[in-house]
Amino acid sequence: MSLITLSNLTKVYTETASDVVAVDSVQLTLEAGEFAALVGPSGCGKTTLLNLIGGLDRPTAGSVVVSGTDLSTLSDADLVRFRLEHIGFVFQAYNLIPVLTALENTVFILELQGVAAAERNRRGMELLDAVGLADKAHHRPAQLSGGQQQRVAVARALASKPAFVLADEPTANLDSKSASTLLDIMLDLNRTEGTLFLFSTHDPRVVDRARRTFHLEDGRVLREERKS
Amino acid sequence: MTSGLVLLLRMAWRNIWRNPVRSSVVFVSMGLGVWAGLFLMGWASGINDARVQDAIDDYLAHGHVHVAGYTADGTNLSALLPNASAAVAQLEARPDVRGVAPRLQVPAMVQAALGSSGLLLQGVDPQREAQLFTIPHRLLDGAFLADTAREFNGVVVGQALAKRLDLRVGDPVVFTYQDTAATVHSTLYTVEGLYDGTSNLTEEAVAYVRLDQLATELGVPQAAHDLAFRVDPSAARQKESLEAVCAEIQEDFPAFQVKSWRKTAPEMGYVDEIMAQALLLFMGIMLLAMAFGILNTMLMAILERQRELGMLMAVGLTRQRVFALVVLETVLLTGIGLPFGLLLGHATLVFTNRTGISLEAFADGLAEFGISPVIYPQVVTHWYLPVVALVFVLSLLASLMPARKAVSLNPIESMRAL
Repeated sequence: MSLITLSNLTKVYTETASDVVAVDSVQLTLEAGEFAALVGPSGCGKTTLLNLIGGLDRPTAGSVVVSGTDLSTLSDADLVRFRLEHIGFVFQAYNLIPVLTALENTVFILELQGVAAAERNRRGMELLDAVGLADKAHHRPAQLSGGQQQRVAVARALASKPAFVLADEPTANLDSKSASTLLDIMLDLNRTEGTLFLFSTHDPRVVDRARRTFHLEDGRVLREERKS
Repeated sequence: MTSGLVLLLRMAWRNIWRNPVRSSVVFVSMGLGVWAGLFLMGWASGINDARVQDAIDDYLAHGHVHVAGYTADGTNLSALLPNASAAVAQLEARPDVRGVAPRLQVPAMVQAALGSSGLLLQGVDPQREAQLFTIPHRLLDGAFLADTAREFNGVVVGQALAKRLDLRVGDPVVFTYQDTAATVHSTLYTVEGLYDGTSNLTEEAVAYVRLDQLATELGVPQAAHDLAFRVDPSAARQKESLEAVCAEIQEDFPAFQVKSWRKTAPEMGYVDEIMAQALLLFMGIMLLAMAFGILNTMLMAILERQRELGMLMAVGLTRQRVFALVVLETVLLTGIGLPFGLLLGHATLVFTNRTGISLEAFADGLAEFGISPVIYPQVVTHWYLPVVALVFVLSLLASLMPARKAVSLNPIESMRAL
């Protein structure tokens, strides 16, 4: 069974002048352990599609089924719980919690899930070590560079061993060296943790590393590329 | 759930230090507000306690024994205790009674060279009166009804009356009054002394003559209208204990009425109780004004952190937890200033309670209201808990609007916010 199945997924924003179709009848499936990217020009619907898959937005038509659960059947509260339990997020602007340290940010989801302190700290340090920031565990975001903050965000997204990670333009704010390091880390974690990564991006470095690429335009998937 | 709460508390605590200057302004204003409110309460309590104590010391005593129908203004002349000395002896025999002063009271008109005035002529036993009250000890001139005063019908008047009628010691005055048979008497007295009462009203309204002399004039020897008494100071301090003592005394005097000062001068007690409510209301209004400041601070904080709150909701923080986070932040923000305000208020009250605050410059004005020129603010510890509760209730109320604002944010739109 596919981990993520999108069936005829459509999102229409009703504007005063006319309706805007942000996502148009998208059909695709993603399996566990994939490293995939949604690519296309600005405004093609990448982020909207990512939001729909992440349960942050509701579709106008069609469905998002994750591990057999149709997200459109869940209440708002259940969607929040679903996101907490099953999805990891990496945002373009890092979006770490400024008052928490790198370690506290990493284990934030685990703490919300009620995981015991010793267990979550062990997992947090393991991930910070994996992203090369074990020595910065007690630094606050303001004391870290952009690349380091995004690596903490990746560690946070993976801390609770989610079914998949959605990363919205994760390298957009990074210099090329930091972006390359981050992608290597994510690829490595994808292999070791077996977590599905789905990116929205127009960064060619991400596209180069992605094993599946979906090319979007005007809300539609125009074509799909697979690398062996 | 517990770890979630600990996480929210940790975040709330650190969030309030994100903008230390803004938070400090809230702490300081809350602390100063509580301090000012407590000091005001202590100050007002001090004024009121002093006013009551001065009245007790001047003329009120702790309690009174009289017959049914007695009125403190002396208008019911026939409401007499027939064998006053026996009742005095019986009352004095009680271990909880510290002194008794019998009094005869008659409304009278005093006439002097420069004018006349209505007042209450009070016949007293000078020695007993001096044991119970301060007026016999606060003479500006002359003596307080010495034995020799019998020969010239001595009377002691207040300085305010003396000033108005231009009276001095040795001046003659005529008192006109009715006896119990409605016969009018006009008697020549001589001013023997001038007393300094705490209240100008008392000074103008009460003049003292010897009890036996007035009793003879009224044709009621051995009688008195009122037996004023004092009880043990520890019993007098609390309303309940004083009422309990009066109830016990009442059992010894079933034919008479025994009343505490709160019942014979209810206006004094009312002021006490009304003031308590008014002070809490005043404190509430003051803190409410501060609550709006806190509300504004929190709304600004929510506005500045839209992106972060959106992210928190996106990754799995429920709306209930976002609500709790904002409420906790508000309560902590308010709560930090509270202990400082309480400590500062307590310290100020303890200090000024010892030293007193002198208002000698306003002594004349204060005397019009029966208030001493040196105020000793009271340490109002019984107000601390209601003030703490009030602060927390208001901070909770102030948190509602920002918390609602926070949970109404849309995660996607909030994360787009700059």
